[in-house]
Amino acid sequence: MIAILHTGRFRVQLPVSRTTRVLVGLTVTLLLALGWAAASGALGISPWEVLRGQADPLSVQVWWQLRLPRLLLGVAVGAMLAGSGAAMQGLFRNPLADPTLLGLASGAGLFVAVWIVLFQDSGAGSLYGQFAAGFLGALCVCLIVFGIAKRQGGGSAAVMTLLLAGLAINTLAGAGGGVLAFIASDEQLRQLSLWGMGTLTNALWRTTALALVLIAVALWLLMRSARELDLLQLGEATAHAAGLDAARLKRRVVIATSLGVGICVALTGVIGFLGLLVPHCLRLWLGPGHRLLLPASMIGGALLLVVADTLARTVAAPAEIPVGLLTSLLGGPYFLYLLMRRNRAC
Amino acid sequence: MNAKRLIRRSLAVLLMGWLTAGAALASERWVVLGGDIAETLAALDADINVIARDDTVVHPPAMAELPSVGYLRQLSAESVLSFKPDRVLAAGHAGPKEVLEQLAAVDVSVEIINAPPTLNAIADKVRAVGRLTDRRDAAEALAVALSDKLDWLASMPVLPTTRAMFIMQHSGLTPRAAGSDTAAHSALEAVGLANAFAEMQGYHSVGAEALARQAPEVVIVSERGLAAMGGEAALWQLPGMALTPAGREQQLIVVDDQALLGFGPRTPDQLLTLRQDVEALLGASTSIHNSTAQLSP
Repeated sequence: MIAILHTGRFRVQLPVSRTTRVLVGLTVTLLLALGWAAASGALGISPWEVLRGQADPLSVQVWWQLRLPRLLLGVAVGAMLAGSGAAMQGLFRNPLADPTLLGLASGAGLFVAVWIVLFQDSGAGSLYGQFAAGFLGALCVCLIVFGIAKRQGGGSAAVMTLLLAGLAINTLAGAGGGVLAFIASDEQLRQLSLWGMGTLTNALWRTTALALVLIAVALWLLMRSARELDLLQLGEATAHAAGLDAARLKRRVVIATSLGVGICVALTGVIGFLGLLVPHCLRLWLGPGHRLLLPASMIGGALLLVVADTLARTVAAPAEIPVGLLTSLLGGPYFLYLLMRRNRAC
Repeated sequence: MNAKRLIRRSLAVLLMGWLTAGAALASERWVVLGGDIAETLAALDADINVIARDDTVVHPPAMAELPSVGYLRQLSAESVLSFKPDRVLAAGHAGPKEVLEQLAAVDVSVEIINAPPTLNAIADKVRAVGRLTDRRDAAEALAVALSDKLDWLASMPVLPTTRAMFIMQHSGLTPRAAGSDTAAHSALEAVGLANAFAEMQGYHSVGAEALARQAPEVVIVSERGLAAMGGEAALWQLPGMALTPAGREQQLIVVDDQALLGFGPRTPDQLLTLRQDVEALLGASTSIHNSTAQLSP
């Protein structure tokens, strides 16, 4: 079976065997990275010894209680951010759509911060509150951005409008965060400082287990949209003629992205640029078909975040570098490079 | 049958606990988090094996020489665990809370001394640390001695109303003044000074006009803060400072903020020292009480 896609300039042929090859290759690489990550940290623990039951009790405890949930959270958050980046780029038909750039992440962060400062009474339920606040924040921003995108046609004007909308939302969220930091108590301020730069340091089973389930649901919703996203690339009218229910597709992607990104932000703060960097690099390599691009982005995002987080944990041990700092250092320059290339093309 | 077994078991556990309690304290590996807790341990001469501390532990020197696990408020579980601790003794503001949870999850016994940053809590803190380190009698004696000092301070004659500002400054950026709900505010009140910035809550940067309006008559700053600002000359050149009574008279008191605001065993002595400094300053200044019109906010 061969899927042929027409995009602006080139035709891509995707034999299924290649899809399988790529995904299996990426998965194996991710497993290798996980093996390395499982064996690295401030404490020298060999996962083999832990799994074979030959390690000392402390190492076993640390590995099961601290390192494993952190690795899984890294996989889930990386997959979610990169997957939602790929899906949003497909939905907006705009190569620069990304949860960080469009302000989804900072919107979620702002809502979570509002929840912490104004509503949270420390105790049970605060985690669910944070998740709900993150989801609502991301959803609000998503709807605003959609409203703006709808009024624009296609073309480079739309790309710029979307970026400016994201800039405005990020600025507003930053200002809101500043106001909250001003009125927050010492205790709350420390909780808020997480939103400056993302980190996976708070991975506990108590918080991670639920997040893994919800993120898995969001990823599954995105995967179900792959074929329809491919249709949408042909243009709304053509897609409609081919029987695509665009409104339903948009609803599904928006809900999945807001849910996933909201939960990621509630747990780990803003880890920037994964949603831009990973789908872009993969699109250059694999072409624009979403049935391959979406799962590849998810695995690639997981891979990048697990590697970045392992570096964050080990480079400056015993201190920890916020992993969001690392991803932004990678992604920021890449974003600038993309903008420059666009300008040359115009 | 079952009841018998239960009783036998609990007796065995109790016996084991009693036998190991004394011996274990000395052999267990402790990590101490929080300058006030470390000072209290030292003051009680607790016989425990402390192997690591955090960045806020700067006194006594023997504790300060230990390896550090990082900054008190940004702990990482693995860095604490890399010292293979059996017990962690942490101040209430150690965090993030998730990290302490993680430590407890891997069977490290985590003791958190939750005490509000008030003078009354100092004695409670000492007693709590004493309970945990098998130093009850010493802790009781120290707690009473510290409370006596604080009572003595409270019974001193009332000072003439004097507006003071405490500058909290740990970096070279704009100076931040202490408002109410801060350790510095409690310290100012305890020695009989009025906080010129009591209207605001927490530590905030204050502008030139606000400085002039609040008209502090005395500036109190930590040695480290003064050094970070660039010395006393730089302090008096802060925008608006020249318009305050304190700036005109150059009335400055330099304190050891770690001892004063840590609310540990050194705090009462430090408060008495501050009180003496204030009295010396007020005695020396002639113009201080007729120069300021109290502006109502």
